[in-house]
Amino acid sequence: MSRELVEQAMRGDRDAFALLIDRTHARLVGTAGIILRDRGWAEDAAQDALVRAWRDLPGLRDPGRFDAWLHRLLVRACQDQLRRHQHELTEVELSELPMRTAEPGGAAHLEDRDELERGLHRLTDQQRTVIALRYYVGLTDTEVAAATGLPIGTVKSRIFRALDALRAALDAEARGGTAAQVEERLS
Amino acid sequence: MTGRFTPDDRGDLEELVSSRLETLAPMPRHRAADQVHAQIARTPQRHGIRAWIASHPLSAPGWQSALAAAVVLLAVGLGIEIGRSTILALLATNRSPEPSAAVSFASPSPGGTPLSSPALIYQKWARSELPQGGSDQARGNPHDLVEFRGRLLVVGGAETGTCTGAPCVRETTAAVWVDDQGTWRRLPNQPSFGAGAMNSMAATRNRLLILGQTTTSPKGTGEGLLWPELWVSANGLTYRAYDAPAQFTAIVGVDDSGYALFLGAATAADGTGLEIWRSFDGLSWARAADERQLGPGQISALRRLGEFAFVGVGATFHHDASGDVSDAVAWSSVGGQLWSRTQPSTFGAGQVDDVAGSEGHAVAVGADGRGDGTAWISEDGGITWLEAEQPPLGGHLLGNVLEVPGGFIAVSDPREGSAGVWTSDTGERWDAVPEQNGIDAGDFLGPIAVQSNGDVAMVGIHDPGSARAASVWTSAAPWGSVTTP
Repeated sequence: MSRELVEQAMRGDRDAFALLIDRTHARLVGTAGIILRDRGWAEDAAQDALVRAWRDLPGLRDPGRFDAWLHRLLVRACQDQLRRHQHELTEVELSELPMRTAEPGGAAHLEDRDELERGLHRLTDQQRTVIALRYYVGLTDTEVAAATGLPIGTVKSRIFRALDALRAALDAEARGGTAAQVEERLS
Repeated sequence: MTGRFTPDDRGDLEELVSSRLETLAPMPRHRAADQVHAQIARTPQRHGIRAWIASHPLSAPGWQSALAAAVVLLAVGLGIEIGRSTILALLATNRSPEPSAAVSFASPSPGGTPLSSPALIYQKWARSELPQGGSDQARGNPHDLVEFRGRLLVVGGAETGTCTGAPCVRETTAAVWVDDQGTWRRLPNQPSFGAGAMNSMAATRNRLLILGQTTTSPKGTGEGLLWPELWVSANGLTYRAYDAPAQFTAIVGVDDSGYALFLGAATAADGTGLEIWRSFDGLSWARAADERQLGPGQISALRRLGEFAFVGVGATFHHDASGDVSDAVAWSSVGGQLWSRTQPSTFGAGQVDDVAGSEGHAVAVGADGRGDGTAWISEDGGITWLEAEQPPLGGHLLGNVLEVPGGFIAVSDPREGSAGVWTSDTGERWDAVPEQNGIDAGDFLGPIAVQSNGDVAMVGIHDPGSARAASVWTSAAPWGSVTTP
């Protein structure tokens, strides 16, 4: 991110901060979406993070650390969203699982639903946070540690376990399509 | 099943995850970005203490600046504390316990008709073996049974015969057995059955739900993740698998008065709290209660005691000088939405494994704080409980209990003694079914089901020492069709 733009925004330049929003907003919503698995909550979290960033920007010590600081604000905003919605009455529609048996030409009929998404649902909120920061945002382990406030060892172990779970999800994907698809093929 | 990834190809996996996450991440709606801009425009920047100090050069003596900073910090601190107090007060308002709903029950007698003692009705038991199919080595592990659409169904896991590694780890697959007019057959493997097992069932008139788990671990390793799954069937013969919305430990289904309802008790994602989920069709689930109402612990069984009265039993935990202590506990609800928990002093240390009853009269079985088997009675729909007058003697642990015409039947762990089946009229006093009546020493008996004609069936393992066999025991009621709870 342009240091000059950040410094202008720190001095209260709304136009400069508007440019920062335009450059970061989509990535923030995407990151929050992976962590929260809800588009509405993700947009709220991104908005909260950006509003908080605007409000507290004058207190930023090093303009060159704007990105890392913004990620930290986003992680906190996601945590706030999770706390806010933790006890809500949530409606869950079950997703049909893929078939387990190999079908002729099954590889060509892989289901539309992405098994990685299923795997993400299986992860804890904390695991999704490190996965999103590491593999979607592209931060290093050290930067993930800075954004989450976690020790680097904890970050590494969370990433390792989360990858293990995602590996299992992708394994399952390799097995075939949904029951409905197979039944359709058989009919 | 061959895994796509091996532990050595983390790089490939990371690359794939990175590329897939790009497609999974939501894109913001244009309007949402406008909202951010609009809110930023309304939000003043907070020039904090650092900015304030920077914009206010030290003109006053140092102690005045220090005092000013201290006052600012104190005000900030007070502000935070006031905010917390306010929030806590609001939370306390929201967390006030629900008013305990009065439950009235018409009659303590099932069906309102006096019936003979189950000790007299269910004297003789006949055993049928569940066929395994597949390899000669294959063995079945039945876990639950239920009557659905007029026939008995048993679910569990069936070993595939594959044995790899040392020690030998056998893979199992989900398995269903059906009773075809007295002959049991195992359904052929279906596409929805994966490596794993089916554990428990709940049925309404038109839908059968099965809880279980599958694993995608490399074959024969016994490692990897166990994923909770739900199988749904409309006919008991074909099944579709779904991702369970939570880590269910118990499930119940009810179906009358024109509506169907499923309740599932689950362990929360953090592994400590409890949740109750509700569904009217088995496919769309909503969380009805969480740890704020239920507290920590585990629900072993969830049952219906009256038209809208439900009870869950299990254990909660507290810590004392001797370490973590398990406390027996029950949860009761009218409607399944709002739940209240019995006071820990009601049961004391121990755990409740199962509960049965109707019209407010309930019998729970489990273990007391010394690990001895016992039973408890409730006459108010599970709100208050008293220990049975004469629970099974000799430390028999009753694991499953069911209300049957005339009273209750329970089964005990055979490792604690020879007798496996117990009967009781009210739950207060228990008698063992003599072994020679079809129950052998060492038979490991599990869940019990009463059929619409009054016959009772139990599922378990017959193990005389030479060869174990997955089995179903049945005892016929000496009358035609009766109305059962």
